[in-house]
Amino acid sequence: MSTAVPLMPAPTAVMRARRHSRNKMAVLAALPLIVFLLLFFIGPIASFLREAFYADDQLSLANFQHLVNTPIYRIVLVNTLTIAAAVTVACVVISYPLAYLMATVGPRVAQILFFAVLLPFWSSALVRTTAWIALLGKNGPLNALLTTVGVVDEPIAFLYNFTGVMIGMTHVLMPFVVLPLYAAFRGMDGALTQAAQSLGARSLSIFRHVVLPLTSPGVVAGAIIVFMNAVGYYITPSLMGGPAQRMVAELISDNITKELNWGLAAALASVLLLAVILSLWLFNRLFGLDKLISGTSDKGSTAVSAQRTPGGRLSVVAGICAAVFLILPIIVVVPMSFGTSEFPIFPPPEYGLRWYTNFLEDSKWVNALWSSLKVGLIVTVFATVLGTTAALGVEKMSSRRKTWLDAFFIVPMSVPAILTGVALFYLTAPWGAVSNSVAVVIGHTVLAAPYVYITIRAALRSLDTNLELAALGLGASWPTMFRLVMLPALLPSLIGGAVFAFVTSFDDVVMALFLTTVRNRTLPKLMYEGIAHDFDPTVISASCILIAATALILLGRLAFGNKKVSTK
Amino acid sequence: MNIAINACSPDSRQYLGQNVVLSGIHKAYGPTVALPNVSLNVERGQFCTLLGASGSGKTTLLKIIAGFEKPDAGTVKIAGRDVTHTPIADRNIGMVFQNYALFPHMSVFDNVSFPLRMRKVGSDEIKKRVNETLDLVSMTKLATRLPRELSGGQQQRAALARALVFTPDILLMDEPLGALDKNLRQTIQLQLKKLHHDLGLTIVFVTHDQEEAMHLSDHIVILDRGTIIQQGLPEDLYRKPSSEFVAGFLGECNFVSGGDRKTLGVRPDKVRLATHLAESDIRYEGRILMSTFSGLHWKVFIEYQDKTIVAYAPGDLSEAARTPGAALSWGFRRQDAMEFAAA
Amino acid sequence: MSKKLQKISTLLCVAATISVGSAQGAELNFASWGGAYQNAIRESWLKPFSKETGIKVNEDTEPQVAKIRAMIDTQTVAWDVVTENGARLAKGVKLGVFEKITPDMVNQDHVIPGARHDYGVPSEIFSTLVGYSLKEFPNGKLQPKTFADFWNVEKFPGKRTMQDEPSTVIEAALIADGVAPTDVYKVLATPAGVDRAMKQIEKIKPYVAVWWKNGAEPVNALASGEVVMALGWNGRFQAGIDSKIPIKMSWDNVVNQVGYFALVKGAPNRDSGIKFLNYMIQPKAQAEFSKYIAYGPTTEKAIALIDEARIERLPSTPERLKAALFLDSEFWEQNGATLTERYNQVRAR
Repeated sequence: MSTAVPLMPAPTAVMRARRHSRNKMAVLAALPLIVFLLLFFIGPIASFLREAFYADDQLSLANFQHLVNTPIYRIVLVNTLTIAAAVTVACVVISYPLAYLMATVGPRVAQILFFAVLLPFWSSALVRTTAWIALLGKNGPLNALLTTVGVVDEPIAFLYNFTGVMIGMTHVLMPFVVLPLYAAFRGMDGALTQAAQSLGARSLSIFRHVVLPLTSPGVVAGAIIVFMNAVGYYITPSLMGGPAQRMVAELISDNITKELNWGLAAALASVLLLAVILSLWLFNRLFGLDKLISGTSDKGSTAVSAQRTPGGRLSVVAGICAAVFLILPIIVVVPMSFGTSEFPIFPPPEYGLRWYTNFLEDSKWVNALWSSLKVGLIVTVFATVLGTTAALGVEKMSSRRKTWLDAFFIVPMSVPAILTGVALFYLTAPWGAVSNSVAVVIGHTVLAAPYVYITIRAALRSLDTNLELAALGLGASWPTMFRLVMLPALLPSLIGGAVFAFVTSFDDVVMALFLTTVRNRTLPKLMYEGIAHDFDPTVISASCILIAATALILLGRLAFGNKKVSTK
Repeated sequence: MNIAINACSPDSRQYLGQNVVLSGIHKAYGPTVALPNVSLNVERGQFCTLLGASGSGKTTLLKIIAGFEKPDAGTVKIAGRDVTHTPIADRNIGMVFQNYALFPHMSVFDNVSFPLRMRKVGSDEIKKRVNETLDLVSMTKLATRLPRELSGGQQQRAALARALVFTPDILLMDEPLGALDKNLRQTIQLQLKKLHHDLGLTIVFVTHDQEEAMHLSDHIVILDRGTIIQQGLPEDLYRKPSSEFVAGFLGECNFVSGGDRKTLGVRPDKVRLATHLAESDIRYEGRILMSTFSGLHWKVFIEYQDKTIVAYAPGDLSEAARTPGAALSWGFRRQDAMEFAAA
Repeated sequence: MSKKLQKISTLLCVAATISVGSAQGAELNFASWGGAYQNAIRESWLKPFSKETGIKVNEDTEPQVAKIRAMIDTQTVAWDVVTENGARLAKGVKLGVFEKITPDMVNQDHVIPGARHDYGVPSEIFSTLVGYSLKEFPNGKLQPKTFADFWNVEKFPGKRTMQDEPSTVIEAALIADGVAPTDVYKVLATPAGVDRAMKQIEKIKPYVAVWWKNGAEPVNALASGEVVMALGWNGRFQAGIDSKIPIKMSWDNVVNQVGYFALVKGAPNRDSGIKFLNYMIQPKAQAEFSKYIAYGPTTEKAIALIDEARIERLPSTPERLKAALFLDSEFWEQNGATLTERYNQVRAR
């Protein structure tokens, strides 16, 4: 007779223990970013928003009452939401033909189109605004073209009105829709359009019944990003719009810097934040926040239809127009930079290297460039590390936690940079962090980490979990498996996320305005000064140098085996 | 799975289908000529299979009928109407794709009603016709499911229903059963045949599986490198192939030299072994490679002059007569051999 | 910012060993508003001052009073001397960011009485007036002279540009409506008066192509043909004329502002700052400034040092000073916020 001795603990206990430790690892992985955001984002902003509930050092709702009673604030809030919505719609409408075009042409043409989308995307918004202003003026080249050809008798007012703001903001925000929409198109089964045709559907029906529903996750993901960004904008609208296009963020900034009415600024900010959170909530209810993380549908793409429907042909034309729209200001800016006049004219009456020379000789420009590069590189490292570890951690978590953490990590993207900037200033200035660039690094990391997070999360979703399991089953430890299996697979997305982080830092104006001093100011801050107070043409030459650098990075990426074009 | 019994009135055999006439079709992709010059007649109500290996041009031809490709030269006429330049949506053809191409975001019902919605049919009429068609393919209970919730066979039937619901002039099928397992394939083949008979459809079916082709078709068209090699009734093609190629393509066939620049072809079921050989038969000596049991008969593989001869032997073949390595006489009746000019 | 957070910040500051760079050797941190204005200050004052005293001058821009307040709160004052207009100076005084300038710090005996201020050394007088395109309104034809002309769209058709901020615009609006310059602030003290000014803005609104935010914009807009008339600063117009842009300005109606140089409380280089203030208020320095930008000196003694031809370009001729309306910075300090709200509201639809 043998006594039954358990040879090993019951399997469920082992599994539970393993799951427990895996969960612990997951939480640990996500912790750094959580702590970082709590310290440097939630904390300072909450502190700042508290001011909304104080008037004359007493707890009161006076600020909110003022908002309600004074018509201008209501008007501006409505304007802001209207403009943001209009820009979102415009971005979606224009992006569709372009994304369709990109998804249905051969690889080489697709690369050219990608270049056209990414180059302006990675060029400073200030640069593009300057170019548009030079193009769209009453006596600028576009109006000259229109009046000469005879399309119109009088020049059209494109600037300092709703049209100007629409053009400027759509141009800046469009790529946020084009990229996920492109991914959605690629994920669509090519035979479906053929099937629809064979069933008697015309182009419009095909679009309505097949293309639209199947690409909607991509569109919606892009649209929500555009809307959240647009709502917090104020530099482009203030440069290209009129008083009827004044946005909330400008009023917040004015109340902080000019009127010194922190209570009112905070009250406005609270309302803005509320609008943003509401839209995020609505989005989650309607579509699920995970669509934001990966906006693609599940099917892989099959061979594309050899023939286009008439609607398809029309879309190709529209797509080309959209691509031209995107790349036009970038192209225009280059000859402008070789002009020698004191303010922006296109085409320049005279050519020379005057402003390039000024850029290189005047130390403030070179110093600013250096400062931007330094900050950018450090931010890239921090944001990539924080964002990646957080994404890795969240991937392993239960779905409830996932949704909450996804929302938490995305919110910094939607809070207007000015709030974060001001709040951070007050937090970090006592340590001297403003003058030694620590503050601006922190601020930019807060901006950039969400983008890295989203990119890596999306990449992890499309990673085959079987690879992970196979490696672990073959005896690899998790770090080894990560290094040899996951990292190579994630590398394109890592690089994409890192580049995105760098560009976010390099291009930021608003935070730099608060978080740098004259000694360590970044290039965008200097450029903004060159546009806002007086027109310094060196700004345009600086922009072209940036564009050239961006183009080089892009060409490098395209050249070095980008077989699978990166998607967001 | 039950095959739906369709009660149709006994004296009116409705012909849903129309005829298709292809004349002088030429199609090239850059320097490659897919179809040099193809003419084909598909009669009303005929089940016509385009059979060939990959690259034979069968799918291209199908696409040209559908309108997904335009021929460089030649015409396509359906029911006497020249549709060569008619847009796809106007051709009134039903197409079943290789991977079904069901709209993933629509239920079965919505998928099947799609062509009716495109034709602006009223919603009551739509309901009636969709339910009828779903009934035909036994999919009524699954009408609310999404494609990803269906098995392969169910998706196949949904795709079929969608292609039939609007009574097309022709039904085109592009290797639709390739993804299914054998049993399912056979069941659907039977159902397809029944539908074809009951409705009088014109079906143009593309496949590389000759067994399937013979099983289903009224008329087989064999294509090789864009040219029609032979076409006709399955039995005719099987028994009287015009060339070695056709003989070897349809069903299994053994080839031996017949002397005087002739090749003889013999089907495995006509090969006689050892004691079954008669005096007057042509006879050869070979060696048994191996034999496998396939239910109905033994397949005996015989080595002969560096060739492998396949013979079907009755199920009660003795052990000795199929031992690998043993010498074996084999042969056939003169009249069972098919004669071809040597390739 | 919350007191608690400040305490925590200070504690962290103690814990942290990051040190703020402090000035080694004599330096002056100066901040102004960029562009032609700061260029003129640099050429006429900063550079010679640096040369004369050996003090190194560091320049910055955008000395928003809020930022100064933030610097003081966080003990990170980075500026010594800043330039502000009357309204901002008054706001800064209210917020306690500027140091009172006593006579023994800076001798201001010779300063024009109207321009004096306890907390600032007046640096220049600049005028808001009507500038117009000579292409549209050539010599020999009818040319706009007064604010009323600016508002008269039938007599002088075409697009205009005015400042995006209400100060000087509101005054011009009332003057255009017939209010005598001396009565302007009396009228503005009443709600009816404010309404009257806003009605004027409503009237002119459809004809304003762009509401300018920086001083160079009106000139650029005139030069590019975007507008035919501008309500802007005389110094910028003059600079445009000097660069051969075909524009002209009229001194018939003028709203004057005084620019001030202020000493920041807790300035790291207070002594250098005071030295500089003494430097720029000297008549000879004041006269020098007008060489670089057409703004008028704040001391009568400087007038004598400026030649006839240049005086013509400045606001500081006795006739012009007499006819001008000086901006009431106290008024704007008190009412700026609400008037800005109204101004934005009127133009927001």
